[in-house]
Amino acid sequence: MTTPEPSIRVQGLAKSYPGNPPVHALHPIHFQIHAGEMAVLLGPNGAGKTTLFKILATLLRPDGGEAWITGLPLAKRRAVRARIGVITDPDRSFFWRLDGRDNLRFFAAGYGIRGRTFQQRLDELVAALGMGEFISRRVGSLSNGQRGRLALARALFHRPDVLLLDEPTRSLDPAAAGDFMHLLDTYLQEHPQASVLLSTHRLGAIAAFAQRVLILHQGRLLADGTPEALIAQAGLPQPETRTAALARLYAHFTGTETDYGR
Amino acid sequence: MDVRVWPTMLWETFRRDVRISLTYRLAFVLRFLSTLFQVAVFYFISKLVTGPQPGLDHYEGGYFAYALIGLAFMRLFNISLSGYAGMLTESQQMGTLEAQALLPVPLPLLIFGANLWPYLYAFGETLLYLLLGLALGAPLAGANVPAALVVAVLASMAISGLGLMGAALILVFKRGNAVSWAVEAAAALLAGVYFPPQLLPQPVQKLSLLLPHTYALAGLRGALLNGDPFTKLLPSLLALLAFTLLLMPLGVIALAWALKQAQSKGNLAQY
Repeated sequence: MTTPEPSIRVQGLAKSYPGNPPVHALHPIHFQIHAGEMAVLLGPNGAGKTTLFKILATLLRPDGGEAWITGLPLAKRRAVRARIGVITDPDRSFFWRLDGRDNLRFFAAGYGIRGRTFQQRLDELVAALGMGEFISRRVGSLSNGQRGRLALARALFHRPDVLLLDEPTRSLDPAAAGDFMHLLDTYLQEHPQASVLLSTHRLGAIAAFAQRVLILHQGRLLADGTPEALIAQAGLPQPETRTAALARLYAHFTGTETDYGR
Repeated sequence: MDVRVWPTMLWETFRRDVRISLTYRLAFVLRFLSTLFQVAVFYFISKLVTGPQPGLDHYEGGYFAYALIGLAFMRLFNISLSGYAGMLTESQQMGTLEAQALLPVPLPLLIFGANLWPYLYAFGETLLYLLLGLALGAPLAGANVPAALVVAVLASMAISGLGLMGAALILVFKRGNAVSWAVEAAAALLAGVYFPPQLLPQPVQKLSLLLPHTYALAGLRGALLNGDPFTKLLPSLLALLAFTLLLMPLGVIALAWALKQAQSKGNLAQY
């Protein structure tokens, strides 16, 4: 019996940006995410989170190391892109003069989804994400929360195996962020082969769902494990809530506070 | 990902751009009026240009017909020259470039697809110029239309090579499509858009031979104003073919290199 490939396998990925001196955005890092997992990447601004997401999404070439998405090396860019769903900038990544439906139709075409299959998936996502009232409106007229849901719909449309979500709850209010996380959780339950790697500063929204926590600071992966295991390893007192546990871990490893309460 | 997706993607890119264009209805009206006024302006200027003029005597119809062909086809050629870079700049500024680059289709396919609607639109404008010209007496009734189409397609391909180089520069330097500006200005002065190159000083005339526009406009005037057969247009066609064979591969290589650079530096979406 063979062991299934991890959803994400990262081996020594490193990236520097040119400058004087050069900026070492990622020192060689290693980790794996498995099917069914929701992993949360925490770290202050400039920690290297977006660099890591962009490399895994094939938008940025690493200087060293390698990563595999469901066993495919990143060098197979188009095949990798077909298996990932990505949210990077939900506010500005749509055609604002078109409505939500036409935007989704354009992006779905890139995956070969059209005709009846498109309509069927659109109906499913409109119902699941509560987009009925705004799917026919121009994206430019939507609220940040509505655009956030549209971005999730686009990321889920082709039923990807790996979701890479870089601060997807950034412009959502706490209630909308909670709804967003519930939707992700539902997707994972309905697609057991899928996994999620998500970054956020909003610990309150993700605490109940974070099965794994990875803490990145100054380009180095400082912690990787379940919140409970990391608290025990660090010799920290077990807090009463998961949100408090995440905040305590964040502060312990990065030496900074984060958006604790929301 | 299957290459069979590519035609669908091209169609959806075209459809997207048509729908976006339709949200700017006033722009259609203004462009129509601008075409109308431009044709009228050159019609009346042509009244000043009387008697035999160097370069004009090769073609039927005098100065008005000469300028009409230059005006009509420069809009089409400028899509080849500036459209690719324009798509990149607009997508960078709107924030949609990374979202498109995440699709499992080659980004150059999307860049090419984003020029389909502008090409069709510019082709429509070219026809409008010619119809207005016909109404004002330009001798287009005996035009060799198939030959003109072949010249226009070849010219668009040759100029697209320069356009792809301009797009590569946008990816590397972010601002200022230097290739488009330089070539557009040089073509306006040298290639016989508004006046025959024969009016230029001898040494400057030779520079016009370095531009594909020169051969394109000569071929188009021959086909449309004189009704020249393919055999008579052969020098223009061969020159345009040579430009295409030289510039297209250079443009494709430059764009591929620039995309790789942008992916290494992580600045694909920056502008």
